[in-house]
Amino acid sequence: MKRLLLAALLLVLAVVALRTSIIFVDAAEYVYVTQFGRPVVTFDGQTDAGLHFKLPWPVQSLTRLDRRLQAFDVPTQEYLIRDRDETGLEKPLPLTFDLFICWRIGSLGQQRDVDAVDRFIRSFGSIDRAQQYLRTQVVSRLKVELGEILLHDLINTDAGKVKINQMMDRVRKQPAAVGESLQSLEQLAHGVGIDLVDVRLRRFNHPLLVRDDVYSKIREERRREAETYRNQGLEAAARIRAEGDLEARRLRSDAEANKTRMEGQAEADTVRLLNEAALANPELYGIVRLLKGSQKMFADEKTQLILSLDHPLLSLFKNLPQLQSKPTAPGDKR
Amino acid sequence: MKRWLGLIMGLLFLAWLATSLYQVAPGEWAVVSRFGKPLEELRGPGLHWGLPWGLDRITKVAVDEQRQLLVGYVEETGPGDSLAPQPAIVTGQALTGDHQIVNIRISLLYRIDQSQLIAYVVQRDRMEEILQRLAEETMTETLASQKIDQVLLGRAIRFENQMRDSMLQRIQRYRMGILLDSVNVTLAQPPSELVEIFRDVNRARSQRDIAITDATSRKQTDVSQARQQAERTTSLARSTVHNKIAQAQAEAAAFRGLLATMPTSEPGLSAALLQLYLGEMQSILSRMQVRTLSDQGVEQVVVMPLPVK
Repeated sequence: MKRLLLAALLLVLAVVALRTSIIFVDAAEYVYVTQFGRPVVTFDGQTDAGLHFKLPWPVQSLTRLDRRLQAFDVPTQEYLIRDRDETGLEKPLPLTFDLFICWRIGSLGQQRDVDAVDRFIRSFGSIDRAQQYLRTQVVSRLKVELGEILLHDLINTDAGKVKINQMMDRVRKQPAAVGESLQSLEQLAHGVGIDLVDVRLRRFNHPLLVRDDVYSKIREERRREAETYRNQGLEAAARIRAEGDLEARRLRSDAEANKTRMEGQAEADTVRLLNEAALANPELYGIVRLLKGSQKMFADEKTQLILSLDHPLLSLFKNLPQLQSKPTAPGDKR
Repeated sequence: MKRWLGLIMGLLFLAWLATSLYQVAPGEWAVVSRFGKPLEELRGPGLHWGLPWGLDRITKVAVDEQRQLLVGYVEETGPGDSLAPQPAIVTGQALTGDHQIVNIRISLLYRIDQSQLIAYVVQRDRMEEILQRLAEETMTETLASQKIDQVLLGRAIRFENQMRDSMLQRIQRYRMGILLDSVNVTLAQPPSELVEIFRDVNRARSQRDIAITDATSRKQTDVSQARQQAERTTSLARSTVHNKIAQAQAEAAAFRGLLATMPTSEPGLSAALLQLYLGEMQSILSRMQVRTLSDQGVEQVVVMPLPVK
């Protein structure tokens, strides 16, 4: 019985030893192996993923660390930004900023640097503490950068003048005094085994407290804009209508002028035509004109003509017609 | 008893072995992580053998599937939520280049990049949260240079592409293993506090447009009427002129005709003239009401027509 128990115990020990001496290294992690607390080897999932062996626990133990890209948010921060109005006067404007930070365990610009894991474990040991550290550092650098810029570097209708990206890059890359040396945040992070991939502005806005004021300012601006549109409409309509009137009047008067010109010309032509005809025998023409003229003058049927009985036309009533001389030729008097 | 135990152990072992068999559905690709190491060779649709559970880990990914991620403004929920503390920053609210505030929501359509499937599988649990932040950031930065009217009036195509391009760069840099197909603005509106005034601005803008359209069409009507009238005047004048000249020509021709038939010397000439005179006088007198007077003093009196009773 005792021997059986011993055998079982040995079997368990053997299984534990075997289990703890086999390592599966996942592509998504670093495996950091220590022997009685002294680092022995680091497996990088990027290159060393797969099956590995070590001495069994408790001689060698391991820590697994996520080697993937991590993203976390920096809680909303409120800062004063300088805003320059039309007169060039600067006044502070409070804005809230939400950032996020992308990072991974590793080192700046290098794909494989297992020492970084060592540096990371010595400095933090856990992801949470590393994030805490990054948060503090980023916030203090951001404060410096925000002090440098004006509101119109953040929002501007000219896309070339929006400096958000440059500003966030500077948070990461601009060297600043750390102890006695100048180091950028990237370099600082590198020193503690962090590859600081990105620091980005997720959003910014007016703080809740002043938002009502901002709204009423916008409302006022928009009201003015609406007013402008309405006035523009009235002005444009009046202008167009006046143009229309002018055009119509011009067309009409052009036509009238044309008419007068044409009629005048026709008058002249008429006179010329008749004159040409008259030249052949002006005297006779005069008589014919006179007769035709009287035709027109007395065209009305209601015209009454009162004639004296002595008038030659009525000579019939007084005298019988008689020939005073002999007729010349029968063809002359029809 | 011992035999039963052996049988159970044997069955469990077989069951464990059976886990080495796996199936990949159409449209899916599987990444096999053997002892944690992703194998280069991807498994397509079909039945495959591998190592049993604990040694192989199979991750199946629907590569061709269109995936959507909505980022940005979410409608405020009903009054039930009013007790909840208001967030310091409303999600999906951004400042525009002309200092306005806009609520915006965008939709990302993406697929898994088959050539980067392993990178995707490694990063996969984090993918959406990073993509979301990336989208929010791009949105904030893009809107910071836009005019609100362009955003609200749906002229967003230009900056949708801009967003897509800038996100593509970052996706590559982060090695996320996805293909971003499109970025679309699905909602853009002023904050609820400002909706009314924006509506008023729109109304004013359309009133302006209507006033201009009205005036323009009235102008056209006026001008076209005037043109018709002018046309009429001109054509009337033209016909008057034509008549006048024709008349004159006829008159001239008549005179020439008369002249041709006139005798050139006396006594025929006097007789012809008398004939002419009498002919005309007859035509006049036949129309007129002629009355006679025997008074010696009055030779000829013309009386104008009296108004008709």
